[in-house]
Parts: sequence; C-alpha cells; structure tokens
Amino acid sequence: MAPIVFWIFVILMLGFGLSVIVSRNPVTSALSLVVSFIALAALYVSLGAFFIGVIQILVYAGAVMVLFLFIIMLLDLRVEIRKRMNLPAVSGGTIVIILFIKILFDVCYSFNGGHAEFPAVSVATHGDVWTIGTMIFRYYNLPLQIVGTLILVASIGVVILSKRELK
Amino acid sequence: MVQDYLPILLQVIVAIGFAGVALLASVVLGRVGRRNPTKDSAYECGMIAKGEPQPRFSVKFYLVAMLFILFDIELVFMYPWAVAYRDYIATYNAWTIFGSMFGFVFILMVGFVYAIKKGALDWKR
Amino acid sequence: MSFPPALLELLVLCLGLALLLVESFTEKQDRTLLAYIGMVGLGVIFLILQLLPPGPTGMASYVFDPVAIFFKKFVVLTTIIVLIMSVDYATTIQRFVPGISSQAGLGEFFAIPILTCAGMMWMASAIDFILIFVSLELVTISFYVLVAFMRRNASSLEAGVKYLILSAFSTGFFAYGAAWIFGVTGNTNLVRIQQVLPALGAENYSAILFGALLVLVGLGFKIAAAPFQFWVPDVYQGAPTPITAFLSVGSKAVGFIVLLRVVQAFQSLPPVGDKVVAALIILAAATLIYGNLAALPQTNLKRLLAYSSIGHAGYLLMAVAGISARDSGQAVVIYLAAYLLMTLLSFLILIIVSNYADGDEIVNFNGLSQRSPLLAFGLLVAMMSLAGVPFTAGFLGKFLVFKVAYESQQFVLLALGIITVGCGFYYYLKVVRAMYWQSAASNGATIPVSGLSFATIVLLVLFTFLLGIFPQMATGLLR
Repeated sequence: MAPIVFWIFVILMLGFGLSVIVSRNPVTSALSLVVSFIALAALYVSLGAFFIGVIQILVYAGAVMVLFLFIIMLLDLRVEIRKRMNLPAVSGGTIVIILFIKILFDVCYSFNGGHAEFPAVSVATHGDVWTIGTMIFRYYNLPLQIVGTLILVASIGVVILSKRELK
Repeated sequence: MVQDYLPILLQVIVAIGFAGVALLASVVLGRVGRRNPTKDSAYECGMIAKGEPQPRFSVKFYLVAMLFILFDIELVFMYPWAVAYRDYIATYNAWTIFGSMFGFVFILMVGFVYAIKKGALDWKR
Repeated sequence: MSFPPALLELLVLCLGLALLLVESFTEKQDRTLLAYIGMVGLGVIFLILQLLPPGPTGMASYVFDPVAIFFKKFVVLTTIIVLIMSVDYATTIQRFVPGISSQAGLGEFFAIPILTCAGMMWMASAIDFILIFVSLELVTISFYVLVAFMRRNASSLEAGVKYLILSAFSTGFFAYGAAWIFGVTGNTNLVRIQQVLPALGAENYSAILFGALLVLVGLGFKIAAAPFQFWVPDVYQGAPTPITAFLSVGSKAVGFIVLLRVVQAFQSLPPVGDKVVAALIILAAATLIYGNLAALPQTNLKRLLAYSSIGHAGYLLMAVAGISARDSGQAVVIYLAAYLLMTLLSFLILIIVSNYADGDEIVNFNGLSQRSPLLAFGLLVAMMSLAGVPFTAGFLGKFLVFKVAYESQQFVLLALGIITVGCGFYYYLKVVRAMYWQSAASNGATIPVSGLSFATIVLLVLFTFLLGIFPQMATGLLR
C-alpha cells in the first residue's frame, strides 16, 4: 500500500484515539474509538493481515463498541465535569510515559529488523484465513480448548454478576 | 489483494460524502429566515420537549449484550475453521480438526445451557 | 498403554463442567454436595498425579517434568483446601448474593475454582508463550468473577473492578513483551527461544531485553512484586476470604513457575540474562522492604496477610534471582510448599473465627486461646511458620532461600532478607499476643468448627512441623 494511505490511516487512528481521551462527552469518546478501531483495521489490511482486519471490525468496532455505548446509556453518563488535576499523579504519570517512549525509541533504533524467519501469512494458493485455520488446528488445539473454557467462565460470570435475582 | 478492497474504500467515501453533504446542507439551508428561541428548541410533536436526549436502557439488555459478545468471539475461531476444513481433512488427520472444534463448541454449549437454565435469556424476569 | 498426562487437565475441566451442569439441572439439591463432589474428584486427580512418572508428552508446548508435577499437585491441593474453606464461608456468600432460592450462586462458587484449577495446571506445564498466555487469562478471568462474587458487598465489587483493571493492564505488558520476543527470535516456545538466543547478534540484545523486561512487568503484577503490588491490599481485603487465599497461594505459585521458566530461558544469553537477573534483584529488594514495612501498622488480619503475601513474594524472588545457584528452583519449590501450608492454615482459621465474630480485625482474636485452644494453637503455628521460627516449614523455606542468595553471592539481598525477617517477627507476633495475652471482649463461648475443617487444620499443623523437622521430606517433593 502506498505510504500516503498508511499515513492517512495512522493520523486518523491517532487523532481519534486522542479524541477518546480528551472529549468529555462519553458518547463522543465511544464513537471516536470506533473510528480509531476502523483505521486500525485498515492498517492491518495494508499489512496483508486481512483476517485480523475483519475481526477487528466485526468484534471490536461492531460488538464491543455496541456494548460500550450500551453501558454509557445504561449508566446515563453526562458530560464529564472537569476535575481538579492531581498534580503529583499527573506529573508522575507523564514521567513514566516519557521514559517508556524514550526506551521504546532507543530499542527501535538499535533494532535492525531481527533476522528471524517467519512463515508467510498467506500462501499463493490460499488466503491468510486458510493459513491461520490450518495453523490453529495443527499446532494450537489445546490453547483453543482453553479459550473455550475461558469464554465459558466469562459467560458464567456475566450471569452471576448481572442477573437481577439468581436462581 | 489490496485492490480487492477498493469497493469498500469507495463505499466509505460515498458514506462519508453523503453524511457530510447532508450536514452541510442543513447548516446552509437552515440559515434562511429569522430565528428565535422557540424555533431553535427541539421539536417533539408540538409538545414541550422534556427528559433526556439519550434514553436509558433497561439493565436486561446488558446481560443479553454481554452474552452476545461472548458467543460472538466464537466466530473468530469458526471462520478460519470453516475456511481451512476441506483442505485440512484431505492432508492431515480429519478427526483432529473435527474433534477440536467439537470440544470447543461443547465447552461453550455448557455455558449456553447454564445461561438458559438460569433464566438469563428469560426476558420477563 | 500409559496414561497421557495431558488428559489430567481435561479431567479437571470435565469435573468443572459436570458440576455446572448439575448446578443448572437440579433445584432442590443441597449445594454443598457440589463442593464435596469437587473435593473428591480433585482428590482422585491428586492420586493420579502421585502415581504418574515424569516423561515426554509428545507436545512441543507442554512438558511433564518434576517441576510441573509438583506445581500441579500444589494447585490441586490448594483448590481442595479452598473448597473446604468455601463450605465454611457459604453463609457469608449467601448473605451477599441476591437470589430467589436461599443457596443461589453457591454452585458456581464451588465450580469456578475447579475451572481455575485446570487453568493453573495448564500453566504449570506450559512452555510456550501462547499456551502460557491463554491459561494465564483463564486463571485471571475466573478470578475477576470470583473476587467480585459478593455482589451486594461494595468492597467486594470495588476489589473486582481494581483487580480487573490492573490485571488487564499487566496482561497487556505480558503480551507486548511476548510479541517483542517473538519478533526477534521467531519463536514463542521457550525451549526453542533458549536454543535460538545465543546465535543472535548483539544488535538484537536491546530488543530482547526490552521484551523480557515487559514480560517481567506483566508477571510482576501477577506475583504481587513491588512496585506492581498496589492492587494487593484492597483486592485481598475485599474479595471473599477463600478467594483471597486462592489468589495469594495458587495464583502466586503459577506466576512463579512461569517466571522461573522464562528467566531460565534467557540464561542462555548472558548479556541479556544478567540484566534480567539484575532487574529481579531490584524487584526482590523493593518487594521485601515494602511488604514487610507496610505490614507493621496493620490492624486487620486479612490485610496483614495481604502484605505478608507481598513480603513472601520478596523471599521467593530472592530465590529466583539466585538462578545461577544450583538449588534455586528447589528453594522456590520448597518455599512455596511451606507457604501453602502456613498461608492456607491462617486463612482457614481466619474464616472460622471471622464467621463467628463477624469481623476480621486482629481485635476479634483477643483471648482466642481461652475460647478455642485448638484454633489459637493452629494460628500460632501458622504465624510462627510465616515468621520463620525454627522447626517449622517456614524456617526451612527461608533457610534455603538465604542459602541460594549466599551461593549466588547476593549479599545485599541476603542482609535485607535477614533484616526483614526481624520485622516479620513483630507483626506476626502481634496476632499471637492478641490470642494469648489479651482477654476476650464479650462472647467468650467456644467457636464451633466443622469436622472437615478440624481435620484440615490438624493435618496442616502436622505437616508444617513435619516439613520443618524432617527437611529430607522436602527433597522428596521433587523426585
């Protein structure tokens, strides 16, 4: 994909990501997050990771965001009232973030790509979804069952924690 | 492959364009005529508007929405399963891919049965 | 045909599923029956584990070595004792869970720990970042549910939210670190990573180190090492007490096995491995100081035990930091065995006493020795062992950890360890003083103890002494 398209989506993603944090109306925040997710999905697609792009839109921008909006409406959140800044916390947080970014930059500059060999995401005859499916069911059957258990526990948790009167 | 996604890009452009034009048109056309506070207030079938602009949902929706998301995640694994299935059974052990998905769905089904028996999908309560 | 070890977790999983189905389809049945079925089922698993020899599994991401077997037995035993505690704690759960029937929610409260146990057993065997990650998530997500289980109790809900946010945050660090390591080495399997690392050029070192440190931060949250410990006191205090015990013993132990395996993998590349060890030393020192000093002014036993669990994470980290010493892994294992005995013993007695006195302040234990000599003696043994008095299991654990620190020449840590043990004596003996030298406030009656809890207390006390007096028993833990 052309670099210009990459930059457009990066700017969209970061700009709307910023808007999630800065905007004080929770609905605006949630919708900005949707746009940010969609831009991220476009970046995945530009890397040839079509499956992850599709999932990003289907699960995150679709289902998860619907839930976010739901909760916002459920709780009847209004426009946030500006709070007094907790100066030590904010300055401490800023220092940690700056340090982290500095380390990240140092690491990224000294790192020249790694020389590890990676299998191709998609082969000529099949798309990446096929490759992912074959990988999961050849090598990761056990983790798949664990993911199933994880979702089971989560669904029990949902019922336990949000059913009005348990039976 | 990227070229295949051109229609989507076109659709996005059309959608954004339509929304933008509609918004712009209402701003431009809405300036016609004289304004007063009564005209600017929200219109609700001739009644005086009251209450919140965003309606509140019942908490029951929340339970259903959460369960929906959990079972939606299942799709993430079923999609590649369905795509890979035919070539997999031709090349490797067919029982692996079948049994693996069977086990996965079985575990989730226990959760589903549990939710039904506990009345989580029962709207009246 | 021999028994494939990977079936064990599936059996535990099936046990959990069966309990859930029983819970869904029966209405009149007494729910504590589910807890007893769970205990018996896990007991059978424990016996199978006792009989299975370590050996190859035929899977690249799953090992069945002596360490894995030890940790599997460890978490199965912990889960059984947690279930015993949960039965005692059932009345409190019923009070805080809204339901149509009186025992609503109890079945789940007994079934989820079994699924958690399966996750922990997977973690004990996992040597692949993907398997580690999904089983870690299974454990964490079931703890989200369990910690917030008492819905009508505001502090339980608050604990749930805090645990959710900080745990999700730490998982992010872990996943990001694993992604860096995968990016450089092209592998998620720890054994393969260990083989690939020495061949890498120096230009990759900083990236590897960055990934390793991020993983360390993620695990630091799970094992409650300072400076990632700030969630511990509130979460431990707010959660239902059996779950607090489960968190502080089970969750911490599996965090340590993953930490051991990850740190081990990076030792094959000394320039990075040494820096990882240096980071561990800093973590250990901070954890020792914070855990022991912050425990000093506590007046609530549950909170005190939370800080004490941070302090013990410090000693365990000392042993991991001494990975160059031969016995480092063994010290971790024996320390954890001792930690299981004494921590579960204190939580079991805490539950019984606080059920009766309706509070878990140290004041509630005043004059316990006159009211219930057995409970007082049990807690006395637990506190002595936690403090590290000779002839108890806790002493053996601390002794081995200090030996490892000495052999790997970490003298600063060693000195710090010895000083903080002194602090420990002060706050653990505060509890002993309340029980033996303060007079009871009002209700001086004997506290009723169920037969099962009584037997468990006796066994735990017995093993605390046995492990302390016959250290050779401990070496048998790792065949």
